Amino acid sequence: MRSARRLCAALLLAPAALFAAGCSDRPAPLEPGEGGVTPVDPALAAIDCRADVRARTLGCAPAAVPLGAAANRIIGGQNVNVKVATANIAYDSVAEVFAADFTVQNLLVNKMGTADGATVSGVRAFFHSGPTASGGTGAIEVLNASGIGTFTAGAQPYYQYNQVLSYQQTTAPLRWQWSVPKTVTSFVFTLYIRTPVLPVVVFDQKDALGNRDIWRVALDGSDLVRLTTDGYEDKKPTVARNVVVWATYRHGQSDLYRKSIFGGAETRLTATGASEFDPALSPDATKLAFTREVGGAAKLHTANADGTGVALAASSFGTPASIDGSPGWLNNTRLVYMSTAFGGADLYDLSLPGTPSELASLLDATVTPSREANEVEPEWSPDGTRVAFASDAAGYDTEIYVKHVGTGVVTRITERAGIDSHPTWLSDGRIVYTAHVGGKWRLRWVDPASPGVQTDIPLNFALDARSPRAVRF
Amino acid sequence: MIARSFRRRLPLPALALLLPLAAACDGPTGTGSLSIDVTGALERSQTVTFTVLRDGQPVDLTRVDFTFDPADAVQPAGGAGTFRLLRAGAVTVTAAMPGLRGRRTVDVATPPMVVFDRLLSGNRDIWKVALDGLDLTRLTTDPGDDQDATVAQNTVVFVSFRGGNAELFSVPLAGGDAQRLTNTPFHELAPALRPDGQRLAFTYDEAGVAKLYTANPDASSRTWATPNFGFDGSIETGPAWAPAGGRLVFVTTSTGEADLYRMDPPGEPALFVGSANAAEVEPAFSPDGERVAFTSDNTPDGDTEVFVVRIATGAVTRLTTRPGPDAHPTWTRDGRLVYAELTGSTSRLRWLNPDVPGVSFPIETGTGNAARPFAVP
Repeated sequence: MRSARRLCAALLLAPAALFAAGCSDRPAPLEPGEGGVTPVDPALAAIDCRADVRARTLGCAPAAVPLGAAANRIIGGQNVNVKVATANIAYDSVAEVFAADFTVQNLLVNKMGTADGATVSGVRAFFHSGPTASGGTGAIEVLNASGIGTFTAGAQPYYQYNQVLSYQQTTAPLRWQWSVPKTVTSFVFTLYIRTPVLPVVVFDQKDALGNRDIWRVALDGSDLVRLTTDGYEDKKPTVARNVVVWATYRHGQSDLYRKSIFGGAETRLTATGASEFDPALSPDATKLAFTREVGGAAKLHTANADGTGVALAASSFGTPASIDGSPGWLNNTRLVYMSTAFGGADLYDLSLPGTPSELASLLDATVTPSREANEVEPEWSPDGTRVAFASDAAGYDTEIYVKHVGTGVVTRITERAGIDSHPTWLSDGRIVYTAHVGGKWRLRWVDPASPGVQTDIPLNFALDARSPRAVRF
Repeated sequence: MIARSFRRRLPLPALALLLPLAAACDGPTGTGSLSIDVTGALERSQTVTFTVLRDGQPVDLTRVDFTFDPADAVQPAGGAGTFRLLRAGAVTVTAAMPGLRGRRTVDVATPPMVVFDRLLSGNRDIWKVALDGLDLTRLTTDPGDDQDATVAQNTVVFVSFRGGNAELFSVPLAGGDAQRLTNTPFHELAPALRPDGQRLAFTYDEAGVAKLYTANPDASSRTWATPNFGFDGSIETGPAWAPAGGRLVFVTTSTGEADLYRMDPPGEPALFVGSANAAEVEPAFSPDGERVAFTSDNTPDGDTEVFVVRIATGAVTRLTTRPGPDAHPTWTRDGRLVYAELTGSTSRLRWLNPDVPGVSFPIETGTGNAARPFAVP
């Protein structure tokens, strides 16, 4: 970020075209520790805009990306999540009006401007700070904002684009105008984009010939894209920061591969001769957890996201024959996973490096005598307060449960006769899972606050969709 | 002395109500048999009514001759016995009738003061003003943009763009030279001094997005307050300190929309006030620490208004209802709320009593736009 901002500042003195190009391009990646500053993921940087009044230039460099449990998201990440572009920059020195055409391009795999695929809510670009004079003296005023709203502070001007944007789609231009006195030589402001985002999941599904591959789809069933086509079975995807990792049997045993969620080349991550399975990327896509067979039993391992630095995660835990599975990261140092260390499948909370502690072990009291139930497939909620998982604690019928980690309260989410499993949290707090219906698997979503309402993701139910993982950004 | 004892016995917000109060008098001090009661808030620029009693019974005020010391301490304000208080300090009122006389001294308080940023003639600077619009004083004069002031222990910290990006500066509340506190290529914004003046909270965006930091009051030894909270890209802003105990409430977009979280550094934040698809921002603790005012667009028409939440019960009350944004709430030391009222591109300061939210009063700050008030504790 430091070098990116310096680039923009330096180019203020350059011709307009050069300045605009320099500030719009993705900054060169920083080396770790460069300049004593933590490297900044460009996906997280805010959209800082700087206008040079005399040179008639206006450029926007990276600014930020939040998410959460509401339909709307506040998004930054210039040139990563969105691309805010300017054109036709002009300054009327008589009227003292600076103007430019602004467009917003969606670089996310998710649709912007709609929460459900049908309702058009549009995209808002709002001023988190500024506009403020950074050179010369004078008050800058937004002249023709679409409205004044409350986003990160009260009464922030915004521009509204009443469109739904698919991947790479750009809004129609809006002409933004500022009142800029002649005494101002440059001004700065920080933008964010506030928009509903249509959730997307990756999952595995068979094709018509029975070959299971990795796919992605929006929650309304649109934008169905096949990500792998190899003739061998690909399954159990995990996704973070537009990186997809999955398990494949194309080499005789299960190995891990990765590729971009947008497609492109595939990279083999493991080639050990042992089976690696159940991959899980950390939220920032820098760490990988997975199971590797050791002495015939799957054991939890961690590694860098490129497959290097593999280490056994809990070497002194369990027995040689106990099985680990289905890990999920809260952050880069804390995991939840399943282990049969004490017989049945239970959930464990592991802070690295350390010893796992039991997170969930339910009793099935619907049978007499009661029995130890199995808990599997855990995933942390985006805010880290809850863990969703599947369990057969209700009379051998596998259902989705949520445990509030702070209170210990476990809530059953699904009640249907038939297996519900593989829960994954969307950024907005809903859960997507697989439901076994009529001998086939299908994807459904449910809001834990309204567990009685479950909605299918409209796919070809004959193709057996499984193992969904939510795309978060 | 009267004003002080008055404050001890009544809820402080009542001082601002201008409700007819039977003021607690120290008793007649005059000669003869007249005694004097006063009704109204004993605060500069407020209007009070003096009641004169003879043998405990009210007398016809049109027959009473009032004199004051200092003589310019009041001016008549309509009805008999009703006066506007023109200055703070001790005021002696003498009531005289033929053959009778009474005297009483009252203490007139100075109204609470706020610092704020004022855009005047194209330059935004930090100013201070009392709630009655008097004592308007400019604290910064740099041609660069100064804004978003916080104050504690007679020190004002504010944001200035005079160096090309947002940096923190300080200036004495009494006036003087500004001192630069930060000097980084990143933006330091949203400063909040702890009421004891010993800690400073603000946001810093070295990580690419504004995150909450705490530091010494001179901004040295800054520490990221929320390293294990939220997402890398979630924005944190608007920190506010509790009057005691070191608790912070701040704004984060970690759940999608802006919500209020509370934390006791170095503890972990917890949700304080949040709603789906609406924003809660700009928290401000009441001086007794029992309530937090904030700004939200959680209204039927999406208009931005000022709300208050009572911490013990979680009960939320909407305080402003005017069409158009009302924002930037701050509590005065006696429990009034000052906020900014925006109409088009014009921003003005007003105050109200949170217990009587239907009535608000303008704070005269002259020409130009006044915004982001912060009450002097």
